[in-house]
Amino acid sequence: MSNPLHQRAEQLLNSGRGKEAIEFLENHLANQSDDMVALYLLAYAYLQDGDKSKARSLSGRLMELAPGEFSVLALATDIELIDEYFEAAEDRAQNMIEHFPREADSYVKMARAKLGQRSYDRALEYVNLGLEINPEDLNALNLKIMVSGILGDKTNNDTIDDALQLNPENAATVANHGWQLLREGKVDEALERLKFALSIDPTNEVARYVMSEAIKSKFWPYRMLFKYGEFTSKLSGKNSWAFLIGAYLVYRMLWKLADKNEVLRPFVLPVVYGIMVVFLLTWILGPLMNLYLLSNKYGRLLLDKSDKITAKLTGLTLATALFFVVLHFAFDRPNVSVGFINYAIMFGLMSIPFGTFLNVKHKQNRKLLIYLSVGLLIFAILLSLFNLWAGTILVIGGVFIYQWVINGIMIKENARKFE
Amino acid sequence: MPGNLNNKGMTPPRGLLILFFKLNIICRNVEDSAYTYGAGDEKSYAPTLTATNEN
Repeated sequence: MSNPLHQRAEQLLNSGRGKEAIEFLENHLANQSDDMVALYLLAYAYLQDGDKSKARSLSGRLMELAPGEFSVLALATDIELIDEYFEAAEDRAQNMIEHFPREADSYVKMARAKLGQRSYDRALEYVNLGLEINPEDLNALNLKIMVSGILGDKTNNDTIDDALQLNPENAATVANHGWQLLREGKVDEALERLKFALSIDPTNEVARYVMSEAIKSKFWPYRMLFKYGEFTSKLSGKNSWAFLIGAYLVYRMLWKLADKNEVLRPFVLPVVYGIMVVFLLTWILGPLMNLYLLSNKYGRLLLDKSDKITAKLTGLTLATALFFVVLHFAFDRPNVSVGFINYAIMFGLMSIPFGTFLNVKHKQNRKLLIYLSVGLLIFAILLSLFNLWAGTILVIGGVFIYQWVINGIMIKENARKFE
Repeated sequence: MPGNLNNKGMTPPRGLLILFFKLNIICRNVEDSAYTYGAGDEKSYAPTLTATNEN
């Protein structure tokens, strides 16, 4: 029979009261320090409370006490996954598979380790192995729905139906259903499902994230950007580079063609401007739409801290640019320009780095991009006090370099892998 | 200017990955688990560990 004390701790954890669970379990362990189940629950309570180092240390202790226990191995794997040490998590999961090949969770954890490394195909293979053992594992089904959705698997709707039959009110399943509907371009239906998911669990991160994407997708250009993001995230690193450089070369060649060939110019030039606008929108449409969400009292609840900061900075730089454009038309005269248009160009272009520099995940990369962006603006303004055009050209060149640098980082961080 | 690859959207953001653990933390869906409460389908976690402890 189960221990009521463990039941109580688990109840606290189930209701998200990690801190109370910690206090409760620590008090209990003060009298009975060898209670392994309590130690195990305490490790998860620490994880729920965000104290990963204490969870890790408890996991180490449990590994010494019961090295071959399935649950202990699973806990150790979860810690690596939460800490985003996906290679270490993969080693742990491999160990689980070797020792417990008939446990579905061994394969599901491996699938998570693969998903974390953006190896979507392998993740799908492993989650399917888990589902072969337990076809009704709802967490595995939810994981499968997410991975299949990323890969654009056409059978995903069947998996969603299976999961919804098992539990039509599981917030993660309903949220994933909403995500799938959004992928299919059914924005209104997606919004209904996401509202339902949030009514079941207002803290559900998938529902919150997809809800913000769905609201923005009501606006057609953003829906296209969303589809474009789906396409690019399926590319490998090499293909991402090939796509980016290829698109840029085509744009440059058309530009040259329009410049050299007067007959073709009227036809080619609109295409070139069209491409330029599309390229520009890939940089600033996301943060601009977040700015729109910020102005909505429900929308702002869906954005994370980075989204809010970049949205405000994009708005601020573009508003400053617009202000200088107005000054230019109000005060500048031919041959007596005081450079308002230069500042308009500088601030307008700076909306690109300021709208994107927090998109990268790793701290070091963020630091690099923040220093690059802020340094560029300060240095360009100082330079412009001596030579207006030198400052402007510095921003044009600096932003161009920034764009390739951040694309490189994003490819390294997000490109799909196959192993 | 080059385009932005914008490949962030579909890569599971941190929160999403963590969410799965939140769901899964104490929820190994074990048929013969002694624990039966909890939200939705999610039951308990460690029958072998429980057994070890009881022994």
